[in-house]
Amino acid sequence: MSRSTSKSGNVRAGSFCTLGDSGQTQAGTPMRCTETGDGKRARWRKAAGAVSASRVRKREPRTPRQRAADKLRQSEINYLRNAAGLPYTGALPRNKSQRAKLEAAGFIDPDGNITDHGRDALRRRDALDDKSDPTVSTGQPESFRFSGMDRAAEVAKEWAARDIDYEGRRRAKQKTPYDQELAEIAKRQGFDHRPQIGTREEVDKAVAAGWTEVWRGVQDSEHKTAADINGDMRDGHFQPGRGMYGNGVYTSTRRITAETYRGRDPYGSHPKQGYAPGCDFTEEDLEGVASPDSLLRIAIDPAARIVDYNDLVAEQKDWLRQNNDLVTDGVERNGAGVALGDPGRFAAARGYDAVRVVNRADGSFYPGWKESDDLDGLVPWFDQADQYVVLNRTIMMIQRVEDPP
Amino acid sequence: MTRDLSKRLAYAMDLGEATPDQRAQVVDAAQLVTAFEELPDLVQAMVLRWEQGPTPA
Repeated sequence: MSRSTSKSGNVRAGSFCTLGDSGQTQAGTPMRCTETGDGKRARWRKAAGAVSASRVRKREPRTPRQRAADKLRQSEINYLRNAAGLPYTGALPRNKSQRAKLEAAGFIDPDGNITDHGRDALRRRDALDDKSDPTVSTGQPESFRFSGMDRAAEVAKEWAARDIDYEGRRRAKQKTPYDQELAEIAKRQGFDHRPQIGTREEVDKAVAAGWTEVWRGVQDSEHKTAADINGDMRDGHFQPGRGMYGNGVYTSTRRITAETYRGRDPYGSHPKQGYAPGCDFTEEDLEGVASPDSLLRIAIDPAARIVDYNDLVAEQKDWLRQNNDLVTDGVERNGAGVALGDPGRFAAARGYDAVRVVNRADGSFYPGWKESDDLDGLVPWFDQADQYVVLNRTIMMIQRVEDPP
Repeated sequence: MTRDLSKRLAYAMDLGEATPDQRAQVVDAAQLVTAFEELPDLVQAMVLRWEQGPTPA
């Protein structure tokens, strides 16, 4: 790439030039430079003693839109445009409505500068591209969390305006094994991006570094095998499921709970290794056959924004009360009220990455369950394991399929 | 609560588009039972209604 100049040093009309390290474009990007015609640029150049167009341009004020665009590659701009629902053009939008969409998505601020949220999105995209080979260790565990933001009011406004076919929705719910509405909110937040996939050693390292180790068990369904379901969790469409404490992806800090959910229950009341306070069942206490790749070992990013279930329910009630005009049509709940009535959807709309459910029934057996009339929560010396309802897939590092747990 | 009961209640609440108060009622009632029949009659009726028919908002 070369810069052509006339004998007088002026940049020739129609020639291509490369702007250097001024931060105005990526090095090597061709940019058409034209003469201003009024000699102003030439005077500046002369005054500065400069010969390069980049030094001349340094003297010219840049608009916020230009400054933001200067720092981004075309592909990056397209990525953000796509995430905000705009068509690809490779340029930051000029018109107000399109800029408003990028602002609403949190990618640029009112001055047109890229926000931390926007950088987060790009960093994550680049990281995932670089990490295409999961066997390549990245050293210390690193957060690739895609941060969300409070979009509850935005979601409510949109859903309130929808003409909802309740019977149609009910039929759709019966057909789909996942919560489509939560998936839609997750997509809007960027929570549907892929998780990290780690080797056993990488997940070990992450857990040792303070990430939370959780387990998830699934069974074959009518539509998919367990391996397909877990394959999609690693690298397919994000399809959060349903659950007692709000919809989302259910995981437990206790491996036996996950074993239960993949169809393996303890056949005795007490662990073979002996019953002691807090002593749990092990692999040798379980009966039942599990499908291949039906158990996931997951590490949850300590940077994740997690809310406790009890706090979430209180927050949800307050929010729905304060925004009564958004979630009702005066008397009855509208579509927004229905959608945000689920704690999982509400939490995702508020930008939480996961819900932590502490000491509540999780549907699995604990040592002593046969002797106890109330097997959950009341078994002596054994509290219910914490459950994490994951809403943001990017907070997870999932152990790769080649290293079964 | 058992795995099957947990799944059944979760599905019913989603299908019936339960309100936060109804959810709290079901969640609290389900903590200490092992079968659907052990749930309070009111909760049982609510769940059956959700499972059977549409619930317009």
